[in-house]
Amino acid sequence: MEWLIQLRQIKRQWIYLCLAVLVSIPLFLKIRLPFFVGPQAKGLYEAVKNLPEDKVVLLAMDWGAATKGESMWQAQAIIEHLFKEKKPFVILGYDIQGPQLSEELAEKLAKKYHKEYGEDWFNVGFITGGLPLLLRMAKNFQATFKQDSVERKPLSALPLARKIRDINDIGLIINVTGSGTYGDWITIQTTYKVPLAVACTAVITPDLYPFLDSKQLIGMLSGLKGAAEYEALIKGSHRETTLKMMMSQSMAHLLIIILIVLANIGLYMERRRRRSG
Amino acid sequence: MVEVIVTWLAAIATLGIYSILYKENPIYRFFEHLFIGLGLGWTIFEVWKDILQPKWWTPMVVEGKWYWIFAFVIGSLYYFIFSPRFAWMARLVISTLMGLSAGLVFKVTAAIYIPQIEASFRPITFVPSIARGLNNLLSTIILLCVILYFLFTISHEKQPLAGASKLGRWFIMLGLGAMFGSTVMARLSLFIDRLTFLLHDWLKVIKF
Repeated sequence: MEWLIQLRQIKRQWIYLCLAVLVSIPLFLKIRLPFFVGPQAKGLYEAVKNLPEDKVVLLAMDWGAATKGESMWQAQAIIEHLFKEKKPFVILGYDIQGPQLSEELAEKLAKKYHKEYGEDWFNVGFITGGLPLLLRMAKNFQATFKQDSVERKPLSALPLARKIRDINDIGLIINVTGSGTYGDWITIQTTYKVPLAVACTAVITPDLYPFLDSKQLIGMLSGLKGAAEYEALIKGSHRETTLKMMMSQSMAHLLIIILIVLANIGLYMERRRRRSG
Repeated sequence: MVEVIVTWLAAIATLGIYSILYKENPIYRFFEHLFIGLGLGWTIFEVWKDILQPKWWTPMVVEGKWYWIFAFVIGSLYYFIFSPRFAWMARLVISTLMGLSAGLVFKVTAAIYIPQIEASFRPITFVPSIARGLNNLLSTIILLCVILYFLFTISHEKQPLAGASKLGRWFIMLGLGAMFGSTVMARLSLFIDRLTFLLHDWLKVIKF
């Protein structure tokens, strides 16, 4: 009986070791658990696919190194899909690191899909000013962002930038966020009725479901799972990576469930011993 | 060669940060400070590169728009908050910005919540689909129970309000449980990403 009670006091170092070993297994071996693509990811996928030809996608990249494990895979899948579907896009972001990290992803994928900077995509970079800035952008894009962040050219020198005068030229906004920055974009969506999708970290997901219900969001990618779902939809070259990572996550969840059960058995046995005196 | 050095440095930094899982140690402290310092350095550089230089310095110095100096003067008023005698000057800037924020809050609140309130009015009919009708019914019951839990102007001691309020509390707990589950998932994703980096990019023992 005593060993069952000890289940409540497993040293955390052993738990971390078990976690590291279990999470590593699917990365070495080919393990496949059932994997479904949810309607939220499909919503974003359809919106990108059905985007009118004369419209541009606005990628608001509000993520950084702290949430790279989830946000980078989402950003990569979205950029790859935009290049594949020949949908031009603009990168900008409230987070200092987000636009720069996304620019690196876009440059790598642009080579693969033979896309030109300034014609198929460009980067405005880090922006600050919150909602007032976005409201100004909605009325006059050129006056709000005077130059791009990569070549430091005036926007009038970039063929794609010349096409964007105001919010009416934006066909879809995708906010990849590691924090709660989606609020400003929701205000823009409600004010100007531009379709909006959010790719967020799993922590934020529960907050976003009401926005999906009220149709303020047309789609959502939730954490690493969202990235894997999206890659499954576009059948990108990175699909295998995110799927393997998802299997690792399932193993970790399994361990957490087992630990919760073991700790509860320990608690039950301890109470029983106390009652019996 | 540069890539190899960067990968090794990143791997050492990752292991250094994760050493906290064993116990508190100086290696962890060093890499924690390094991470914060690097982050701050990057922030200062980016703020200058993407905001201050193109939007303030270049117009003022290169393009001859001298009046941008007032932005610096007005911004500097913030620092008078440290002087008890001149703190009123800082309050001028703070109150202006607070007024602006208060005005925006009206817009944001309306934009965020009105569509959600509208979406919570759902028809409880079983045509065209029974599943949708049941879903809407369930959603309405949960909504009413949760609102009731937060309604403090009437007594919750007697039935049926006591039962509904208790049910509301259970629904909130279910919601919080789902949120906690998502938090765990997010933290694990970050760990899996780092592990993938160590095994794939650094040790090269796994292939994708």
